[in-house]
Amino acid sequence: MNIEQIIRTFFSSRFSEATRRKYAWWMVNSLDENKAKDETMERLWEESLGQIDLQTLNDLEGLRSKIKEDKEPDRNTGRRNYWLAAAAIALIAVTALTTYLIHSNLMTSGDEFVHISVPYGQTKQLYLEDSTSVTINAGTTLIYPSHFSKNKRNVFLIGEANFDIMKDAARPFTVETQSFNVTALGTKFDVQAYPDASTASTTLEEGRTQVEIVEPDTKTSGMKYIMTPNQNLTFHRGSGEVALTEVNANRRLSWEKGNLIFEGEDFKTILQAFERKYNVTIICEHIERMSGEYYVKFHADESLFEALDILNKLSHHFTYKQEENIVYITPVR
Amino acid sequence: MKNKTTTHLINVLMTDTEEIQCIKAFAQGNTRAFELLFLNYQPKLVAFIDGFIKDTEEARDMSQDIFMRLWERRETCSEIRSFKAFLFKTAKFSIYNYYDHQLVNSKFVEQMLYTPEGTVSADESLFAKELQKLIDHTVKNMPEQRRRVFEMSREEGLSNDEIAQLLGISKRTVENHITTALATLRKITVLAILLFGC
Repeated sequence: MNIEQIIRTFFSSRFSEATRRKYAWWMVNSLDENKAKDETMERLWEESLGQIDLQTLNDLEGLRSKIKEDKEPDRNTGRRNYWLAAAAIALIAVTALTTYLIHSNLMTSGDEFVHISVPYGQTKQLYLEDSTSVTINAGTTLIYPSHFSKNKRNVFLIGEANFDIMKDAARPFTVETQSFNVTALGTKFDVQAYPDASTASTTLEEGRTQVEIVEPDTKTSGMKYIMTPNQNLTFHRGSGEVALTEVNANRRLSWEKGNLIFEGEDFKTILQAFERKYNVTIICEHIERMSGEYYVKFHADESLFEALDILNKLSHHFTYKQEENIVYITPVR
Repeated sequence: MKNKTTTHLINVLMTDTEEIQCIKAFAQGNTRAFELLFLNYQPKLVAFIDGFIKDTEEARDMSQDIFMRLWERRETCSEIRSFKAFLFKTAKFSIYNYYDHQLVNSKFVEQMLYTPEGTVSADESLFAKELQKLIDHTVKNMPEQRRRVFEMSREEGLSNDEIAQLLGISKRTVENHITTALATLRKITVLAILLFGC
């Protein structure tokens, strides 16, 4: 065995204490071989993949309480940064993951969770263990156990995804979000629950789902709704109000193909969707002047500026300019 | 942001430029930025250290210490260009530091002498054989006195006191020759890395 093989073998094996100590001695004393050792260690470092688990979150909690003591107040620049948006999503995801792990009956020791984050400007399609197909929209995190249990299939969603559930009457499929849980046996539906949005909604295309409101301390907490195809349920996070409306589900779900469709949403919601689709930050001054409900479809192949021009025709007029990745919108007086 | 989607639990949401912004914010005391770095790198760090020290609990403690020291020295971190490369250096020195302690605190030499045969798996005995070749090579290339001390200890089974008397050197020197000669030097380097990020 050469040096790389020795180190790799040790790295991936469990040996007796005597062997471990010999290895430690060799690592410390074989000065001639430092270069080869360093290179191998660096390669192993590149290859090392840890997984966030309950222990990671405990460690983070421990660190948080330690650094609280000498923490300076955050400097708030008042301006959005990409990494800060990313940080916010990651932290919400972790908080959600903690809640999910603690409240979910699925949690047994040794359970591993897969944690997929799709950045702005991208979508991703994947199959879960049970062959359920999930299409994940931009700016979304999906968390699910690497193995579903015998009697249920639960996942946690922050953002938006379309689900095409594999039928399995013995194991209902539940999409948990901060606001509500959507349970289905075998069905096709969309769930939208972005952390920065004022509403969360789900649209059913095929089959049947049950939606239970789980957002705490609202007047609809704990209420359950049965949905039929081509219905949309929208939950208003501030007021706790729930609206069930008839929609064209096929149209609603067409973000999968890159289209953006709005049926009565406000200006801010449209801008947030642009940010996710085009991977930009949009800053709009006096957004209160852009009130109103918008009914509009943007096609997959339209550029951000084409889309903004269309929006401009529909709304109170505005001007816009782009500086690097930031688009500034100013309403015309 | 291209190709940053991962199907593993490591959650890479940052491009290199964003990571640099994140480090800058962390250096200014932004805890969110620090926590994001933690989530992106701590599991990797634990897995890496554990591979070398074979003690997951200890690997977690060591990682915790590394992040805590980073936080304490955050002002000096603003110029770090690659957090991953920086963390690798720190991790490597922590592992060597662990080895130093392990060797100082153990009756290593006796174990070298009395390694029981036949109680280990075939894989391990093959590994041990190959390792022994490398150890012999290392001993052969040692400076004269250091090798003499080591051979007296290992092959003649003499105690450190006995070797000290025979060679007319202090017991402390004997100990240094056997295990700890590099430990002090390394501790200084660790400190330098944490202080200056070099």
